[in-house]
Amino acid sequence: MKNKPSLAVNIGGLKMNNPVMTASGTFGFGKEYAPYLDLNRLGAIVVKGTTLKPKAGNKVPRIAETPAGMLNAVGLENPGVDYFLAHEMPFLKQHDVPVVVNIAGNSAADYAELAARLDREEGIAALEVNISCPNVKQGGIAFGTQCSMAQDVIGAVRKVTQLPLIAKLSPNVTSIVEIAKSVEEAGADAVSLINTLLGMSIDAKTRKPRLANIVGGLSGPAVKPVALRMVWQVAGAIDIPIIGMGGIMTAEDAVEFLIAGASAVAVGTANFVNPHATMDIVNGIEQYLEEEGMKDIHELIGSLQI
Amino acid sequence: MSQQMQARILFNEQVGPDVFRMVVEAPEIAKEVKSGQFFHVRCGAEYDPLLRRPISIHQYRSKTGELFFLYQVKGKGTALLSQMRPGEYVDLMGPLGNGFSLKKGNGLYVLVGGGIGIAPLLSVAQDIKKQGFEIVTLLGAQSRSHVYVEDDFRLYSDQIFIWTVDGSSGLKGLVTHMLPEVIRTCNINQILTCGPHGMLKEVAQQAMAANIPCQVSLEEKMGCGVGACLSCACSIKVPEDSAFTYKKVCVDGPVFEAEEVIWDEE
Repeated sequence: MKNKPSLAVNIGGLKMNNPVMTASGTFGFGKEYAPYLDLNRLGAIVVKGTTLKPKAGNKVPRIAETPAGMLNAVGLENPGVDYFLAHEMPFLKQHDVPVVVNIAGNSAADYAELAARLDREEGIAALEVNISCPNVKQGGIAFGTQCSMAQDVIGAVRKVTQLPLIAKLSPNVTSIVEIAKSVEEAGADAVSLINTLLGMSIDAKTRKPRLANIVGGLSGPAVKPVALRMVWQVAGAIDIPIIGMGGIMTAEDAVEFLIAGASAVAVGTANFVNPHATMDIVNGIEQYLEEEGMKDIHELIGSLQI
Repeated sequence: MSQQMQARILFNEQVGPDVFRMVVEAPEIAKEVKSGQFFHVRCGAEYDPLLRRPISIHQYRSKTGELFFLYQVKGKGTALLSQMRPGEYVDLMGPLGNGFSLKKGNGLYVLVGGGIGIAPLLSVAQDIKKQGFEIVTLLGAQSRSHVYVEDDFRLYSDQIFIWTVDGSSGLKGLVTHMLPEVIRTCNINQILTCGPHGMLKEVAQQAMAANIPCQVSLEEKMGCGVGACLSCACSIKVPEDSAFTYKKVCVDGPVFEAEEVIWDEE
């Protein structure tokens, strides 16, 4: 029998059996999707964005469908880090899958305090630092649109933890390449991109916005070309690995991100449409490698033919 | 447990100006469902519309393995759904949500439905009748043409009253006009209701004022349907030290006790 191709990747110290992760905020804390797939077969689970204190989130409607996409303005609703550790982490620990905690805060000090708290906990494989949430007034995106602020946050977190640090970048910037370079310099081990694109939807009949927050983050197949372009540009500018995301629905989409230079991918909105999308994508990538005669996924990563 | 499946469509027929009834074959699932639960339905194979549509269980028949959905065509998704033909397969996720839970007592049950909100109440009516209790059903609609599946409700209801806003069928006005009289004259175990938000609020307030247990089935725009995306938040009374301000309509609901919902929030 032929040997299966190797799908294993190492994202700045985060070792995964395959490159398929879940995008933060689209997969809850894992348990929500447990009836539909074997969580152990994921490359990693990235849990819902977590803050020091519980966060109520925005008013409804928080979601609006758009052509081949959706807008969300959930506003980082989460039960806080203490609740997460007490009530959500035990379930995740029963599984043999790396857990990545996405963290958000209102100040660099907040991020650092949260990172220090999580650094002490068993079973956390990496931290994804969310400097790109478009749906909260303070923090989030404010840190991700200016290089100096992004550096402050990543630098502060870097000081308090040895865990692999992934900086999640916003596409709502003049140059994502500059932001990527500055977080690399500040000590990030990897970057993930893209977070959602800031957008808006209006009901012409009522002349009202379709989201209570008026604006929200666009995701889904509609954003894929933008995400691919950004991954490709950033891949040419930094040395740390990239987790590519934005509208990945199928294995072919994921393969495109790997070709553009991503070392791993995250699946987000697709989970809502097809609850076992991640599994289909893992299987599909493996099949693609076999068909192309590749023994290792690294033969595919960054293999764009120009 | 909830699962994703391809269910064969047996019927998909129009029963009102913009309302359809779909019957699918799902033998394993039909045994497990509870009235008030819903399925998250993929209406097409393309990316537009992208998301699934939550559609409540209208009726289930464990013996024949049939699930009934009553749905209103409101947009692209439900329009595509209405074009599906018997013999085709529809992609379902479910059953999802908590469902109604009947409060025991020696009285009767009152069902109050408005618009397409009547859909899950037929299933509850069946459950109640199976247990041998009396049912008073109040159904509200815009006009005569929007009164559908009335005969199905008559099968299970001991008394049924139809209200239309324009008076073209049954009594004229809002269905909630009649509730004070029903509350005054009947020994009620529980009121179960589903429909537009304003109607639910009115029913809930009347029930609470009379100290009658009342369950409401809420609706909110949904993403995942499984509690992951936090799109379908609803305001619920919680203790001050709770880590949560909102509950999720998809997994904590869609059925809530009237008194746990915060009705006055904009």
